Amino acid sequence: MKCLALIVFGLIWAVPALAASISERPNKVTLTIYQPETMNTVDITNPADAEYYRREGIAFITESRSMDLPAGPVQIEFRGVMSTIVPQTAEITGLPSDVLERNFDYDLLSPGSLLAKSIGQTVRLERTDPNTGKRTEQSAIVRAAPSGVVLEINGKFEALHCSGLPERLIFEKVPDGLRDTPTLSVRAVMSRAGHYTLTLSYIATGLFWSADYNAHVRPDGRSLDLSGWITLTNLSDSNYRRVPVEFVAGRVFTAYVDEPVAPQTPKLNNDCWPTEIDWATLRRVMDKFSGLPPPPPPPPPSPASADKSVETVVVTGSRIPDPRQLGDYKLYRLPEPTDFASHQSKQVQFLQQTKVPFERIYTYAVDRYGATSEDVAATAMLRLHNDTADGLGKPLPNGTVSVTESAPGGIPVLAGQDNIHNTPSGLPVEIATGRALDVRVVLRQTSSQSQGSGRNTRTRKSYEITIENDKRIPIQFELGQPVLDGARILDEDQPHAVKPNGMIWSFAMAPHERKVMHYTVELSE
Amino acid sequence: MRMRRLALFIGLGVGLVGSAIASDPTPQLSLTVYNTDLALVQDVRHLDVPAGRTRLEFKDVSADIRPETVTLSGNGLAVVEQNFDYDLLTPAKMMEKAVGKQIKIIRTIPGTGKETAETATVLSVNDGVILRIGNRIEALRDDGIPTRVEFDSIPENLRASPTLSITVDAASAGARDVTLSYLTTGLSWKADYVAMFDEAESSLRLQGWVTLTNKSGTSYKDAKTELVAGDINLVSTEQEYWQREQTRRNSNRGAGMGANNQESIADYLLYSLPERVTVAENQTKQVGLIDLHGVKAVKTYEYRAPYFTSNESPEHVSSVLKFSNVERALPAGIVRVYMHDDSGESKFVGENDLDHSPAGSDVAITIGEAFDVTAQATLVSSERIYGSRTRYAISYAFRNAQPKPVTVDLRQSGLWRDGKVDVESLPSKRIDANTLGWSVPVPANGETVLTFTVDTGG
Repeated sequence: MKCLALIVFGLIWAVPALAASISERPNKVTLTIYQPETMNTVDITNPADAEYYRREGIAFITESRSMDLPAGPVQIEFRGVMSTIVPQTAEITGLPSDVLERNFDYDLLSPGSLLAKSIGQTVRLERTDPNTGKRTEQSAIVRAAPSGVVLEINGKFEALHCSGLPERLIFEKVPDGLRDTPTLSVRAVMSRAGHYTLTLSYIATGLFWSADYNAHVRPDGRSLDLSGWITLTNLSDSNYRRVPVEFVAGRVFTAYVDEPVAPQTPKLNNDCWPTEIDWATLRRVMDKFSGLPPPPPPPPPSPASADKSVETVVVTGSRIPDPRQLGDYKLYRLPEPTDFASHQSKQVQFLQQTKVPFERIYTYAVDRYGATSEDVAATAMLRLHNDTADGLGKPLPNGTVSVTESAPGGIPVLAGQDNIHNTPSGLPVEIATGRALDVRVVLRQTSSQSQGSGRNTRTRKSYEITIENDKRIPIQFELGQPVLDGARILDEDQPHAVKPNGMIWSFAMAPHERKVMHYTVELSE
Repeated sequence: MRMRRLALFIGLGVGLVGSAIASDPTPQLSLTVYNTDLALVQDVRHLDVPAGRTRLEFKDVSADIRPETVTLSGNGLAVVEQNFDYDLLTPAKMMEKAVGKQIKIIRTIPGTGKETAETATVLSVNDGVILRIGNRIEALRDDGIPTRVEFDSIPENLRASPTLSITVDAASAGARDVTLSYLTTGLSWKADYVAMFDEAESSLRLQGWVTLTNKSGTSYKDAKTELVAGDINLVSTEQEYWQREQTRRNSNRGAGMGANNQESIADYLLYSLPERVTVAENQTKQVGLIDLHGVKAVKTYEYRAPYFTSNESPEHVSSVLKFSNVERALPAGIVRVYMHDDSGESKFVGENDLDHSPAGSDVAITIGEAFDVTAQATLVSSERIYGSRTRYAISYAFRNAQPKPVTVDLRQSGLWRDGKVDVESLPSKRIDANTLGWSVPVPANGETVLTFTVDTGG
């Protein structure tokens, strides 16, 4: 059979080499950082998770770039964009004509890709005689790479790095299309040449902000000083100097698809035929014969590469002004441009309110089964009102609040921690600080009677609740019963109020007072 | 061996001086890309094929090619067989295939640097290479002395990259159009929209981009590109599907599908890119799809309650951007919404999924939660009327900390059999069998309390 083979290189062509206009770096950058949904400062600044969080979070980057552009078709490359850019979100404005296409190329130059793109190409093979140090050079054609390299030399085939001889390949040029870094570019046809100022904006990941509050109870026991700090964290690889930084409070929805591209380069490996070579011995023999000193030990890893944690925490003294409105969110801006380095956390104060009055409330909620329980500690809670009249009235973004009190002798103690949820002005803020060991509750079910049958069964339950205030101060107590299963109060020692957290009996208790409450509830089923 | 050398030579000839053989130097590459990680590649080239049997080798087809979907057609060409070889050439494979054959080993003697060459027969390749040299049996490089190995040839079927080869039988010699087509994964598209919303003007500019992502291991140059939107079924009969698709394409050829037009084919939408594009390897490419100015749009507030329960803490209502998609069908994608801040700079304010949206449909994009507008439900009472019917009394506190009035759309679900409203402080409308809707005006820096009582079967 006469069998000819036509090899068709039809489907691969070099990327067209339209001379690119390159914008090396932005003239001006603004960072707008969005609030992560659930993470707090401890999560974000945990070094163990830095690599994970690099791909999380949402920031909006606006860059201003000035450049000269020729008339006619241009390809504009934007270098120095943030390393965690989400390329499909890039927007370019300021061009005199429409953008034809936007590209993000991440075919990166690496030893593996250099070889893989050189298949069929002629390269130079240099061998060094380990004894004399004499170098010989031959021309070779790459026949296979990068999972082990096969070379064609003078019509014969040899493998690279399988002989034990020092060998290296020398390339004439970098194959088209391979780049040092992922690159964003646009193609456009310019109606006229000129100097243009372009605005490039995009979404990126790895920037975070979180809020932390400190509520310090004043000695009067009835008011507190509330301070708030913002922690800004940069887990990207980009460093910024003197940039305006903004952050947005309020829940902004994302579609969970905004991720930076993770470029993959072909791995170069020396997949030689099996040998039983003890390479360490071989190297020693070679070193001995060649008389060369052993290579110096590798330098110790730099702290940056050894630990990708948050390296620096910068605390600044200036205050963030009150936020402006962005759509339905709150937009805060740092008072002045700031340096924001990779793996850096920065803390700035955004809130300082003194003498905010609060109520100290102790609560106990009967659960839906209402079983007898012995001597339980009541839940302690601070309730304040986010109103101007009460010395507050500010938007309070999601964050962790730590309540501190001054113990006798003036030593501050931590009374407890809770989360503050996004709270607009005008709403109450409730901070649960934990269980009060000196406010005790005993719940006793004193009777249970059923009437009717099947779906029309109704059960009457009577309770006796004993509350003891062992504190030396008066307290406010709230006893709750959930509104469910057709619950109806038949008998009670004092009238209840229906609140979002159930039917509530609220009363004041004197120091060391012991109070007994009774009620009877009727439930369906 | 002589055979192989000849084949390679001719192959290079086509690759390097293809235009000399082909009368039409421009390859006609076309791509039909689906939004389900699938693409149909069709490559028409003008090839001079001699009479009789010829093997055509297509190097650097997509690494993710579905070889079972390959077809090749051309005037007077019959396909004898087609092979997809992906046994990759590596030094280890080369040595394995040399068992029983002769190789040349060249030792470099340490100390002198002198080279000695010997011919050896490879006996086995198992945890080491055993050679017969003359009468000696030894392991390759057992002594650790640097030893090069020279092979006379590369074994048949070992390839530098996955290679598609098709043997055709041509009735006569001559140049003709040869069409190669196949399905591949690794090439996909999705839509990304930018909605610039001007709240004062109640309008938005909607730009749509097609985002093509190529991780298929090869580049496609100057390809006529069509995009298919829709949920096509891809279970076990891909080939069947592809054949259907092939029929469609052939019948469409030359029909003059206009640029920037979308056509409905069967149950999906087809978009043609206005000009040929080059989709490089490891590239994300975006091409404009639509640019609509002055789309009437409004931002509304919405709160959805699935059941009749209390909210222990106030909940933020959602901000929803609504517009009518009157002009044209929009393929599914992500809509990113931008608004101006008070200094006039546009900022990102949220994103969400857009489903396939035919022309004339209403679009609602939930972009986030309003910081200043909250809803808090209080279940005032739940009362068993008889059997499984329950009467719920609910009070909703809607609070607005903004210096302007707002209207919140409440969507209250949870109605079951014969559910109805008994008493209400504002008129409701029935959205569907188990949902009630209220539009609740809330004054600036104020509060509106909505109360109602419903009774419903369980």
